[in-house]
Amino acid sequence: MALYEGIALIQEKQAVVLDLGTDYTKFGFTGEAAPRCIIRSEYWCPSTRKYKRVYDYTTPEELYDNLVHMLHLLYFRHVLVNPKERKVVIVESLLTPTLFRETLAKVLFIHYEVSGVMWVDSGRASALTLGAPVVLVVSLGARDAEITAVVHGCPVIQAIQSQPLGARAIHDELARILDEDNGTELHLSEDVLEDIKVRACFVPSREKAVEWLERGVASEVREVRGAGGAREGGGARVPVSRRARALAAEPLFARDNELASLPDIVLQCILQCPIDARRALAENVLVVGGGAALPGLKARLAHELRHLVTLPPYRERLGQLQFKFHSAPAHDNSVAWLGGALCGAACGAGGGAGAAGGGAWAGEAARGLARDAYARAPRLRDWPSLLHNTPPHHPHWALQ
Amino acid sequence: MSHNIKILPGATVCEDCTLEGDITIGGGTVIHPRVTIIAEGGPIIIAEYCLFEEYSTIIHKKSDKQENPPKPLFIGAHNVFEVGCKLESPCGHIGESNVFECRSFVGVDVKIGSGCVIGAACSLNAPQTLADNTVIWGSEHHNREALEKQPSQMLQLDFLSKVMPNYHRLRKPNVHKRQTSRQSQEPIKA
Amino acid sequence: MAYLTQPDYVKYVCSCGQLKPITNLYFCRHCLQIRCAFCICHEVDSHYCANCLENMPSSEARLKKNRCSSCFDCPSCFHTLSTRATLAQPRQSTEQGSGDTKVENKQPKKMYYLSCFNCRWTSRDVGIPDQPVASGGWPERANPYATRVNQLLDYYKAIAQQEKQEKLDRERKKFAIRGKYITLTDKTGLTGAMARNIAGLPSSESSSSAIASFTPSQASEEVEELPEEFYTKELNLNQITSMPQRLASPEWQPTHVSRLHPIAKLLSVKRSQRCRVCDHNLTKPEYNPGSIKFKIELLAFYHVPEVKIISYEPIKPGCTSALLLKLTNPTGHEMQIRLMQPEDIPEPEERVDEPKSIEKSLEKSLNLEKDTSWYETVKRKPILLTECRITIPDVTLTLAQRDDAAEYDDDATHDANDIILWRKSNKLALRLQVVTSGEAQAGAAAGAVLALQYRYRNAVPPAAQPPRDHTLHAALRLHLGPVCG
Repeated sequence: MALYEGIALIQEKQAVVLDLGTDYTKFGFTGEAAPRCIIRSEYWCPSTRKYKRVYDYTTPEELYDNLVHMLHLLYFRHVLVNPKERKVVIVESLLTPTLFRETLAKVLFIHYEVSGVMWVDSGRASALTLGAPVVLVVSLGARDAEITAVVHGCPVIQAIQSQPLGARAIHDELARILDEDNGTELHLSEDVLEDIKVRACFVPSREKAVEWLERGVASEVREVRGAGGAREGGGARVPVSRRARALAAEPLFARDNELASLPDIVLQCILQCPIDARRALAENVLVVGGGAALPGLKARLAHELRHLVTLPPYRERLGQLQFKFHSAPAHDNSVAWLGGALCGAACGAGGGAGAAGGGAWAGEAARGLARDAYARAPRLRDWPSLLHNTPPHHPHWALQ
Repeated sequence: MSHNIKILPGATVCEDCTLEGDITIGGGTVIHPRVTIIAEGGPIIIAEYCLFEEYSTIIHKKSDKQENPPKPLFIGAHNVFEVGCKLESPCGHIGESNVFECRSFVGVDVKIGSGCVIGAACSLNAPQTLADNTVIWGSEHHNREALEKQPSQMLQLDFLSKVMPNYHRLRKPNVHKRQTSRQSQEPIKA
Repeated sequence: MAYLTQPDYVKYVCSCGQLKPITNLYFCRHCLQIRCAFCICHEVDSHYCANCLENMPSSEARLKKNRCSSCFDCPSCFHTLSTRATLAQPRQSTEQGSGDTKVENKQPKKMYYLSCFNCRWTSRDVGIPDQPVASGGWPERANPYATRVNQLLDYYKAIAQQEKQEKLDRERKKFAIRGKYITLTDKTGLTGAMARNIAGLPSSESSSSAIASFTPSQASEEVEELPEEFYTKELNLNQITSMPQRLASPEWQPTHVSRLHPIAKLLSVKRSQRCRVCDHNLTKPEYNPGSIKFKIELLAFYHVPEVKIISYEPIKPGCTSALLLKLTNPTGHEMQIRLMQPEDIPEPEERVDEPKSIEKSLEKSLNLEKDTSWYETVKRKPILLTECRITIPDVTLTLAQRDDAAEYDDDATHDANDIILWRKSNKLALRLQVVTSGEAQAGAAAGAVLALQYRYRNAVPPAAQPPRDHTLHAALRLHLGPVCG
């Protein structure tokens, strides 16, 4: 570690790595093993005297203001560096709305005058932390579960799966069970639900879950008195039943006709990948994201995948697959961030960094943009844009 | 209401405080001025080496389902009641070495073990039992479990029992044990 | 104090269009414009610890990861930890073992531990041994993943290096090498790599070793099953950390209370602020962390006339209400003020005093080019449409300069004027009329807009010119409570 810091002192300033999640923002320096801070993606708004979430916006201007305030908080309260003349690595989902990406770029380049920005998609970044060539990244975020297959440094775009099966789905189910148990609408805040989830909930194994869903949760699971109640002003504490503890995460695994449960979309992602990559993908699964830290979740996903693959419609085409799992050298919630930090350290973010990035990554990993380039043409590279995804030998280019 | 206040030798009780009902104050306990202790629902027994700071209020509330004879409220040794805290008869028993921080409030149906800390301005209204060594703090009433009991305030008590007589009129101990555990009370300055 | 505790009743329009109270605004003396935190440039000036008020040079701060080496935060409630001393008796067993030789060691030794006064957490709770010195010496923990991350870093850096090398080689092949023979006397040092390349060896030894020794992560069939205790054991909520407690130390994220360690206190920074248009400093703090003074502080509060609402009659639709305002001249010079409607503010014209030299004008044009890009993004259109309209009297008011000594003689002179209610040193009270349109909705927030034209004397002008007066404008929005029905 000290060696790289020494080099960073001589060379150029370490770039900062930003992973702006729906609930939590990870921010730190390239080349470090963990983010400097993980804070809620919200800032104190003095005029309304409330915390305002970055993702609560209705107009582009509101989003711009939110991002300005959030970055101010990150730069001047947490990492304490001048935003100017320091490059930024942004770790983002491939499905980030264009408005959000472009507003963030505008804020960074124009408001904070950073010298370069590099975009790394979270799937590839997570895969970078392993060093393995083929990885199936299952990312459980605050809102969505996203499955990205990364094959030799390339995300398989047509196979990306996304379903609203993130932390919010668990919170909603938890709130529903608690309301049902108490017979009233408790209107628990998101904070309290998160606290209950983090401290009391777990994901049981597949056999137990199937049994408990039918016959009720076995009595050896103890219920908890007064979880989250600490916040209720010493007043009524919320008893958390054994059902709430054990079955709050069930919506992630509940199958319906749409085949949209978490194990289903993992298998569909594999199905839509090239046939020669499928075996390798199944043998290199990486589960990341804050949601993956729930005790027992990874084990349960493994059970479900191994069970589901024996059923139609997967049996014929995927029946022979073995599932193997990786563990990344970081905590679940900062795996993608670490990938961004590694990528930034290796490539030197920004200005023409497009070429560097390592053999298998073939320059794709680093889509850098320098400030002067942005000033000339404020356009970001994006995979849905025909300008950027038309191959160079396509006849379209010859027409121009 | 019967006024039956027993002060054991070694206790330092200021005259300028409200004591009503059947109250027993153990040796070594220090009661600052302006403290209110009202035993309307039953006797209050305070053990040794407790510290009651200014404006702290202890009430043993009368309740409808009163037992006969009324159950005493027993306050264990080494409890500290900081400035302005309020305690309303928590089910007859308070353990040892608790700290009730400034302006804290403990409601009627709260059982308190030993070594607990009720943080400043925390109010406990709902019926509950605090396990030993529970610490409650902050406006959101976070709680945690301490490893050991809070250290006792013996130095402070010693100091107070020496200094208080110089500045306040004190109530004299009216119960005498066969042997006084501590050195005789210092003369009260008029 | 009212600015801190009360809602902002009077908001000024910043040059970027944001509405802010005067205490949140800056005044650039070089552009003669009002600026706000949104449209200026913030810079980190110096690092310091907010607890021990110790300065830390930024290079040292970077090495210490922006953490103070002697102050700690409570991992349980994030309050600052205090160091407490205890007297530790030497163990009896050692005494017995060594006999009489260590009699002098018998006296109790002072030992220190950390304790939180808020939640009563102590460093003993998690088994950190007491320290013999009051500050520092607390055990440091290493990131469990550091080795693996370093391996990955080595690997990717080597790959990047190799790729760069190959690219260079390709370019050399393309341009430099025409003939069959490679000049072995090449000074660039690339010949070695070239030779190796031709011989079919890996291009560089150092990078190849990093690449060759790297082992990719191995996937396993076994996934850590849920421990049995989740099914059977009673859950003690107090033993499990909450989310904020975990995230306070991103490197470890302890899930169990017994793994909480003191968090070294995060440093704070002093910021200096800079006008984006002219790059002059608006504020610059003093270096000493204990000082709350500034070397430069161009705050609007010291330069722009301050308007406060004294009182007003309830606003009713279609009615005229009286409004009492107080104007204050914060500057050390006499000030003429005219009230006007915001729409009558003339468009800012190009400044006449253009710099003469070509270089400067070039610089300026470059600057302007740079500026417009951000200015358009930052610029907001202030909402100045209101149902209430202030009837503007056509008078020029003269406000005396601020005189700190005059604060003490309190004879408010009552002017005969029907607009000016009273005058007192650099303050005066105005009586104005507010006309509310009949369409105003009862219950909606009533607001009125007002513009000030004031003569401002620039006491420290740029480029050593004599002090000169400028006519400046400020628009502001008054909040007049809800519209009454």
